[in-house]
Order: sequence, then structure tokens, then C-alpha cells
Amino acid sequence: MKGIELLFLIDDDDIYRRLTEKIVEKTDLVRRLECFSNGEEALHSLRARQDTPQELPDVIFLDLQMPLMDGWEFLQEFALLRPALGRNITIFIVSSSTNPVDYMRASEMEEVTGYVVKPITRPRFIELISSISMA
Amino acid sequence: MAEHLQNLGNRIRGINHLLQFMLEYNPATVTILQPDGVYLYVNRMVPGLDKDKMIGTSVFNYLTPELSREVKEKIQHVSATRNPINYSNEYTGPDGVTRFLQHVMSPVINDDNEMEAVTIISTEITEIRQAQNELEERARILEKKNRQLADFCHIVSHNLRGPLSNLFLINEMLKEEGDGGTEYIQMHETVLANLQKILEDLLQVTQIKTGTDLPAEIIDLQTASERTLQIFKAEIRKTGATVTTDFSAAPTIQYPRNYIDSILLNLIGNALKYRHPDRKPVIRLCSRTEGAAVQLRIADNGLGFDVARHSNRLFKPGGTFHNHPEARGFGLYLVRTQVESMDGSIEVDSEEGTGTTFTVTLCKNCLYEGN
Repeated sequence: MKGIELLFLIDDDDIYRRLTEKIVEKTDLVRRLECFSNGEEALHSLRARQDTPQELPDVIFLDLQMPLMDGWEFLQEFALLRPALGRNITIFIVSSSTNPVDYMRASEMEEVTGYVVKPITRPRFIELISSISMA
Repeated sequence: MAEHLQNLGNRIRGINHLLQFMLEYNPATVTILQPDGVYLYVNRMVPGLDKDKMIGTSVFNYLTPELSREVKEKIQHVSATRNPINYSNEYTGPDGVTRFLQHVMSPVINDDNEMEAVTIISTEITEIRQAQNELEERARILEKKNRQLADFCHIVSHNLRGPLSNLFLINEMLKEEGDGGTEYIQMHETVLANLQKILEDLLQVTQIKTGTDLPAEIIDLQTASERTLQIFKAEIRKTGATVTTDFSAAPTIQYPRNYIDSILLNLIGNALKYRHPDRKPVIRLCSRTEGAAVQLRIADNGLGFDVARHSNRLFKPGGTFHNHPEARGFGLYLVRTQVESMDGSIEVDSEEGTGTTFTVTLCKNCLYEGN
């Protein structure tokens, strides 16, 4: 199965990040995983790679509730930055929120490809990544 | 002739007396002022003021500068428009009591079309105003409570679901590792699944909105029920259940899809869950109209229960009474909350050992009669 090169995981939950690392290791669909514990860290990193699009991620898994800069704020900043990024980045919101208000809000944002409710189990992870690498 | 005049005089005196009486005993204060504010008449005064001394003096002697200005403005307005005017204000009398008053000021026009005077009828609305203030205060408190509930929902959603889903994942991975302790992992999984269901129930309840801000969709009841029955396919096959549907009386409604799904899921689920051990379940679904209201009826031949004994608890959170391992007591509470948020209601009729019928009045006016 075809995979992707680089996945960004933006989530403040340390356990969840470690579990996702494990899944990435086992599935062999993602060459590299980089973790950030809030939106701001990830944004810094994206800005720093603005001129080297080959170092930008293919996919971002974005949590909603995070300290410093939450998922929504990140998306706002990302929308401004996107034209300057020389790469098409797919963003999935990965949240424990089942609140329809959050779904609705996410579905109205063109930067967001999908809304996934935690946990992402191994089969779900495989499904998600392959849906992108097929496209 | 003289007799006639005398009679007339008596009658006028009689009418005059009656009018006096009406004014004296009227709960409203009636004031007549010259356009310059001088008292011509007042039927009563607030305690602490002598009405007989006030006739012939200016009303502005007794009012604060602000109130004087207001009354002058109103007199000018009435004089200019020749129309009565409504206004209200607060008046603190010499007795120190503040009263809220509602006034109607009307012009008195003479034969030369001049405004001779104004009449002011003042009604005390202190109690109404206080009740209004209390209501507003209560509304504020309610709004706050509502916000707290939303916050609670948010906390449950983010701070409880998160760790729970982590536990789930850890479990998944432990299973994949495949070394020992499988039995415990399985128990762990059951507990987790239970916890998660409870959490979902809680969330659904707290996320119910009032009907007005939920989008109502056009729903074909036959299609909706078939979709729900699909979910119970395995259960229906296992129990040998027969399900019949008849939505001909009200085939299509306008309703939030989530709610219809939840109502069908919970009621059909209950009918299957609380089946009678000695017979195959027979479940009948139908719709009916009751005036402009649409009702959904689900009847089963299951265990049934003593309505008189249990109806209080039936629709409350955590209200279970069948000693059933899967009874969490949330489904009916959820359904009731959803239906009530649409101005509907739910009723139950049941007999122990015979079966149960739920009648859900979905809403007062949601029958869809378009194409």
C-alpha cells in the first residue's frame, strides 16, 4: 500500500501522541511523524519550512482543545499561511469532541478535509492514510 | 315645567355624586392640571401631601427637577398633538416610599379649540414592576445555568472522552501484542465499552438544543424506520421478531433527523430488549394524526410493566426497573428530552406480562404535506 512521507500530529495529550507513534511504527504507512503539543509550535515549524516545500507535511492530524493555540486558532493562521506554502496539505481534525457544533464548524472550513472522533484505531488509521495516498 | 326642571336638577346632582364617588374610590390617581401645571383637581394624594392645600398651586413644587422637566415635556407634547400619551416613571413621595407609576395624560379641549387643561390618570405598577424585575433576575440565573451546562458538556467531552479513548487504544494494542492476560483485557474492554456508552448518553442529553435552532428535515418515516431496523437486523433474526409498519396516516414529517433516529432507535431497541422470554417479539410501528399533531406509536408484546408503579421513574435519567444487564436508564430520558424540546410529549401504556405501547407526540405541527 502506498503511504505518505510526513505526518504532523498536533495534540497536547502526551499519551495519545505516544500511542499514535506506536501505530505509525506498526503500520508502515507514514515515513516520518512529527509531534507538536499545541498549534503554535506546529505553526512555527510550518513557517520555518515555507521555502522548502519538500519538508512540509502531507497530512496534519489536528486536535481542537489545546493550550496556547487551539485547533481553531491554528486553522485561522493556517488559512493565511496556506497560499505561501508550496504544498497541498490535508488536515484532519482529530478530537474527542462529539459536539455537533464542532462538526458543523469544521465542515464549513475549506482547510479541513475531515473530522475524526478519537480514538483512531489501527484500522481507522490505515483507512485514513490510504484515502489520502490514493487520491 | 318647574317640576321637570327640578327632576333634571336632581338627576344631574345624582350623576355628579356618582362621578365624585367613582373618582374618590378609584384605585388610580386622577389629576387635572392647567397647561402651566397648576392643580385644578386631584382625587387623592400620596400619603404626606394634603390635597386641599395643593389645589391652586403648581405641580412642579412637589416634583424633582427631573420629573418636572418630564411632566412639562409631556404637557407640551399633548398640547401639540392633541392626543393622549402614555408614560411611566418612578416617584418618591414625602413618605420616602418609591412607587412606579404608569400615566395616561390626555388634553381637555374647549369650544374654541384651545387646550384648557390636561387630565392625568396614574396607576401604581410597583408590584408589576417588582415581579418583572424578579422574572428578569430569574431569566439571568437560568441563562447562567444553561451556560454552566454547556460548559459541563464541554468538560465531559474533552476531559473525559480523551482519556477514555486512550484507554481504548491501549487495550487494542495490548490485544494485538497477544501475550497472556487476554481474559482480563476482555473484561477491561467490557468496562470501557460500558463507560463509553454512559458518556455518550450523557453527552447526547446535554447537547439537546431547543427545537428552534435545530434544522428540521423532511423525513419519510418508512425509510427512517427501515434504516433503524437495519441496525437491529442481527437482533431481529436472533429473536425471531416480527416488525410491522404502517405510516399511511402520516407518511412524511418535518423534524430534526437526529431526533427521529434516536426515538426509533431507543423505542425499537427497548421493544427488543424487554421481550417476553416465552414468545417471539411482535412489534408494531405506526403513525397517526391528532389534529395538527403527528404521533408515532410503537407497540410490543414484551415483558410489560406496572405503569402505576413505574411511570414516575420511566422517563427520568437512570430510571430502570427491569433487572436487565443492558438497562442503563438513559434511552427514554433522552427521547423525552428530545421530544419535549420540539414541544411534543411521550406517553406509555403497559401491562405486566402483556406488552407495552409508547405514544410519542412528535410535535404540534410537523406534518409535511408538500411533494
